[in-house]
Amino acid sequence: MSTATTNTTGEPQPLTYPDGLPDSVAPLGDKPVRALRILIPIVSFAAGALIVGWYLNPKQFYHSYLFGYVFALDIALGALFWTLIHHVADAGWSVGLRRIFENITRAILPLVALFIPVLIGIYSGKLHAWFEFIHKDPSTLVGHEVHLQHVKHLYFATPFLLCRLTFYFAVWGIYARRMRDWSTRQDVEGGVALTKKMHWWAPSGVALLGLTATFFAFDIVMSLQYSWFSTIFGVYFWVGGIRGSLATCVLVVLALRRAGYLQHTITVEHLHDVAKIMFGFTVFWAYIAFSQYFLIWYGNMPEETQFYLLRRNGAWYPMSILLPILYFVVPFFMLLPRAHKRSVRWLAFIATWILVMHAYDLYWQILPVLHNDTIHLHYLDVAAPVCMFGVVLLSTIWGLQRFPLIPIRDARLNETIGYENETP
Amino acid sequence: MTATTHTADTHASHGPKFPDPLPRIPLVWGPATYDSLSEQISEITEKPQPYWWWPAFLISAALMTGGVTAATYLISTGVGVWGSNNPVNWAFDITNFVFWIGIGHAGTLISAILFLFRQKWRTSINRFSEAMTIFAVICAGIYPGIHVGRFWYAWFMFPLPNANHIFQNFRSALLWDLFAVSTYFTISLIFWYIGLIPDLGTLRDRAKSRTRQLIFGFLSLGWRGSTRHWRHYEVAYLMLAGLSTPLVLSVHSVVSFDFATSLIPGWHTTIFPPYFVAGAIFGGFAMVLQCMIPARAVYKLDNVVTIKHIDVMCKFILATGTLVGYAYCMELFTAWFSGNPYEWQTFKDRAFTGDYTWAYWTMMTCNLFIPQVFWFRWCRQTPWFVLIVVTFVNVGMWYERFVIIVQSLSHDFLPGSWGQFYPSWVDWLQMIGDFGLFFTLTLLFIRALPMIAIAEVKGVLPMANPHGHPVADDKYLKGLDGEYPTADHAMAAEYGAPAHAVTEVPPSPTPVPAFIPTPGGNGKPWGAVAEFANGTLLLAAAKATVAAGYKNVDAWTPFYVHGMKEAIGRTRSRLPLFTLAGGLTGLTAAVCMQFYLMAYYYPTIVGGKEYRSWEAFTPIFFEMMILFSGIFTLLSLIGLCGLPQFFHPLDSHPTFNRSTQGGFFLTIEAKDPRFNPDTARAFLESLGGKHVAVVEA
Repeated sequence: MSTATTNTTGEPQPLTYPDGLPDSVAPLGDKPVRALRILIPIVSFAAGALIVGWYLNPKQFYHSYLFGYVFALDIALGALFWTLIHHVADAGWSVGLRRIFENITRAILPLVALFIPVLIGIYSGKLHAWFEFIHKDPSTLVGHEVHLQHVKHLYFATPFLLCRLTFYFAVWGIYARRMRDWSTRQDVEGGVALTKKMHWWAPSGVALLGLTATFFAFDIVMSLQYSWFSTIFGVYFWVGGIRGSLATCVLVVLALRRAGYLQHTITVEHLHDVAKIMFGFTVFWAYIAFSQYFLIWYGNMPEETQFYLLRRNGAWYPMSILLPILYFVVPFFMLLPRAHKRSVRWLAFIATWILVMHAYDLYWQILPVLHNDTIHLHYLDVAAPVCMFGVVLLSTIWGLQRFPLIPIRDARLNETIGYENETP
Repeated sequence: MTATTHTADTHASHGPKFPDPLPRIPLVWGPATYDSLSEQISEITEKPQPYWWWPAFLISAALMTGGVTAATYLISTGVGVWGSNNPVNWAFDITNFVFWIGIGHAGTLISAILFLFRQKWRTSINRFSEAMTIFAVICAGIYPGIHVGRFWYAWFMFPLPNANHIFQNFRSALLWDLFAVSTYFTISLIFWYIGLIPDLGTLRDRAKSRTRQLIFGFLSLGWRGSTRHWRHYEVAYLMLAGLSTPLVLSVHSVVSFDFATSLIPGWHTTIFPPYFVAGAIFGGFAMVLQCMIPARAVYKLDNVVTIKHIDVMCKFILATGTLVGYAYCMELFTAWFSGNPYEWQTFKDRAFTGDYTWAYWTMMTCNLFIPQVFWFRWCRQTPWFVLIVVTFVNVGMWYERFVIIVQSLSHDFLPGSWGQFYPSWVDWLQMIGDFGLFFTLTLLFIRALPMIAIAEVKGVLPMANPHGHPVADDKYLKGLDGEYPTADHAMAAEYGAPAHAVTEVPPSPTPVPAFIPTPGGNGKPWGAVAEFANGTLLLAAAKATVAAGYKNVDAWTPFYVHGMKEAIGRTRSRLPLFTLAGGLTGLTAAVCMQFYLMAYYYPTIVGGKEYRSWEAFTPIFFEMMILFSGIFTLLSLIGLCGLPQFFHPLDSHPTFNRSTQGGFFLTIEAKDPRFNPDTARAFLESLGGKHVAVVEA
């Protein structure tokens, strides 16, 4: 079985599909037209709403935009994490899924460009309160603020901040790009040389990703309340992305399966394992969230409790109470029975639920800074995540259109095709 | 979207369909069989120990005696004999406590978390690490007992009221510690014991002396490898792995709460729970390697605990060491970034200007910098070098706790109360004594019990894979181009190709009669039994027997053969329901106990926490839930399997004792409506069974 596809430069490249693949995994080409026909108008409409909102209510726009942006970036970084960890663990069963994650990481490139409005928000003083604070005349500050300003002034100095951000994006962009390129090159070349290369580079990628994602979370999300701090915040950010990307991956796989692809390639056996990992990270999220809340509650120090006190005002309070219930308890019990983990219907529902709750979590982290009395749900709060998640999906589809749906010449193909989940 | 019922059975053809340029390296190297493996591991406990064992044991025991002396002196005199002072109220005692609790974590990680992630290389090292977990928790458990000074009041730690009807403060990290550590010890012991049961059966069946037969017969509860038992056993093991995984995270998190719930600069920081867990796994892996590398060399276990095992464990040390380094950096960064002057002065003192900078940089060097050598393959695969590095890690992890505890206390809010800590000779003796206790227990364990999980390793042998396609010996581990794809492949290939599946039943030492009488039997038949050469043949035979209409069929195997429970017509075990019931019971008990005692029976306010502050009760909710789940799992396993069963009619069969070593047996019981002694025997023979006989009930 042999066909032709195009690589990124548009030249046709011969692809040799190994015999015995249970499904056709050729690039989708023009096939996802219907999906695009739905997706592109929605994203365009949401983008239009964002532009309108920018004119009408810039402050609201920047906060909603940041919320949507972090939602999408988190998912793309989570996908990068899964791509890398697949190589670190030398995994076999997840080879087919890896291509989905690789395609999700294609969103990183557009997200670099989409970061510019966030920067404009910061430097127009409409987003992060530290911007105003570090430019205050020191003689107007009292007591502890003097010391605080000294530290924040150094840390948020413009060149330092911009260099840091550039470094984060460079790490993510380069690792995602390299991993994708080697993977799709292996579709053509086969062999083990590229596998070895990916195995060699992946561990350093995980380490750097962990560090850069942490500091991105510190610089952009945690510092919305600049006098607040939590050493675990980076881990909290990781877990969100890890959960969000798993849910996105499940939804993409299910959509492909529904359209008739990958029926026998990524089966319920694979999805069962993904569901187990979703379950594990549901519990892990609760552990991290509880650790942060619990230690701050127990310590009861004003500079730390301000984070939770802000989220006790008005309607934020019930939202704070519901967060662990909706984001931990409900998915925990939905994912507990084995039958749910093996049911496509349940998985579609659970993955959607987790994705929506991931947005809920980020909304709860970001928006109280703007509306600290109570919740003011704005149309931009819907438009921003829809637009940004649309960008993630469009980037993923872009990849699906151009490259085989699974790494067809991967060294571990035997372990992923016809994979059986071992459970006693 | 349609719910799909598609399973992999649609693609029934197994084995490599696609070119395999990077073959998986087997976990056991060389031509090991079920019998050779049983012999290799069991022999260590059966033969006299090598000469070095006695001096090693005597030295450890002498050190342990030193620890007993130190504890006795402390109890008879008072905690003043330690160097702990004001402001450094906690020093060596809690440092050692946290150190040993941490050591235990690698065992649980290997036995539970890696099990859930199906990392099968764990089978070679899990038994040893689990044993270490138990011994380490014993070492740690000494300190809460003796550090109270008045040892006879140690029962104050337990949830019992004192003379004034005042209960313990359930909002205190110290009480959480008690629940967490005792739950951890209990669950680890259950997990270890359940894992040991099949191997204890192996030791019983190999035993030459009556005493060994009785001891291991009693301990193994009469395990004979019945598939009806395996199906509960496998689920029980999974349940315990599922329980132990959050438990291991919770234990060191609770230990970290001892510090993090306080307001001491350097202690109160939100990353403490995962940071402590990562550190514990890091230190635990180092200790596993510290003990395993010499044991592996002395007992010539390098085909089971291969260089690749050491390699992977070094990678874990690198990963967790880097995570711990991440936490160090987060602490240091946040101390500065927070703009909190108290926090920053503590960290400045710790890292740059104070009396304990040497300890801080020892910790940084040993835990963050030195393990980075494991980025290089040679460093991971050279046992003597690994041994040196893990020694540094163990030292570093001890210093980590020392730095956190002693430095933070010595340099708190008030400059007027700053002070240094100087350990006394009792401190030193107690600490060294703990190592003595640990190594004494480890040496006794090596002497008495199989240090490698025999049944589990059998399950990962290449010959155990019923769908395996053995490659020709000259192509073994080679890629498509006929070369070894990596140096690791070449290294594994040096041990030789794996043994091919056994296809002939080994002859019986004594002739097998057609009807085997049982001592004290009632003359009626119990059932018919046949031996098969390997699991694949047995699986086919079991399916054929069930297809022929027999219902009371059982298969007896040295390890759980995948698909066997369905072959004998059984379904998935219902044991998880008992686990769930246990969890709900424990949770309910914890909820009632804490709310009742703290908010109604004798309401107290401590530390400004409300009467009904659920947050502070959460650790004990969790621990009691896990404790009860684990105990229910053990009891339901024993109950569902109908154990203990010290005698069985099949014991009279001359080769049946191989069912725990390398033999595969199929039985049809007399209570089956279709059972007839002669036709059953003839039927089993027609399936290719050997040593066929009817056994008296």
